[in-house]
Amino acid sequence: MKEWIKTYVEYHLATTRRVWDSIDQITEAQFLQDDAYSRGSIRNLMVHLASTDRRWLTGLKNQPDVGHLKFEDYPTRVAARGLFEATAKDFSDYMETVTEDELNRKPPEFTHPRWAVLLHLVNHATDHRATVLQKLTEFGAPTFDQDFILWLWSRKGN
Amino acid sequence: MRPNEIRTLYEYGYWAFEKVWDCVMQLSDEQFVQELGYSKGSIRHQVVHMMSATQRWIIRLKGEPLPPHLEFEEFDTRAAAKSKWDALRAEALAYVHTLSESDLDGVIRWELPARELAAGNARWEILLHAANHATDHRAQVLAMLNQHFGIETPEQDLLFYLLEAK
Repeated sequence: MKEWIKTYVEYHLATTRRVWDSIDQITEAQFLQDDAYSRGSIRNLMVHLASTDRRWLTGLKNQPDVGHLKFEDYPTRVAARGLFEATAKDFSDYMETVTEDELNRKPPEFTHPRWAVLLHLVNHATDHRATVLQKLTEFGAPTFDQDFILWLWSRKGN
Repeated sequence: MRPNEIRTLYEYGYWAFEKVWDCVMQLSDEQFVQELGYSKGSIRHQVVHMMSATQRWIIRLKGEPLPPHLEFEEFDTRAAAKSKWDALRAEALAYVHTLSESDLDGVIRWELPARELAAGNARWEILLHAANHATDHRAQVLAMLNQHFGIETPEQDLLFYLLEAK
């Protein structure tokens, strides 16, 4: 059971990292430019993604709730990407250590087993990356299809 | 991957898209086919693309002859698209409910000639792809509905489905 969810989380982190490479092609002003849709700027969306992963991960590890991070605490791409990379490492480390038994069980105060929470996180990231990719296209930055099957294909070294 | 896990994901995906349909039905048929300049173009094109992609992956998984892609022009109205959607939704959900764990581990060869790609993947990998692809395009449709037509759109979090279905 662990293989599929570990693979899916790897896809989430690798694809989000690719989005960050596209974000490097826009300006800081575009990164922070407000938008009426969803969480607002690309900065807000990317911090929201990392903050959501970070918050759920603490729960998955039976640690106290850390709450959401504030967008304003990440005023530059470097700062926000640093947050992503730290969270991604934490996420990868967790996936290496979580056991099959733990994946099938609910953490205290959760309504669903860990595998369902992890599935939610990957799906949530795909959802928000779609919005970020749309905004990046509007800014003229290079983007890509975030298809899971294409990522699997590229990972096999085809 | 276990059968209940893939069933959860597909039940969620169709649950989420019913919320999208509630928004799409607030459009006129002219707005439904209006070119919007991003991704597949119109809301109609996005919906038909999703239907066609999922249908073709499931047909590949069943080992049946692959039909051509659905033609966008055959779905000029929301009602026509919704009718086809409901039929394909029933087929997809019926299929995922037949799968055992060993079925999910079975490897299927596939080709995407337009991208010059060919490979073999486990059924669970292909089913995860189709579900994730749908989430991606639903997100695009929700943004287009809000930004171009001013429709108040819902969140499509899997968590909300899990809480509602509990």
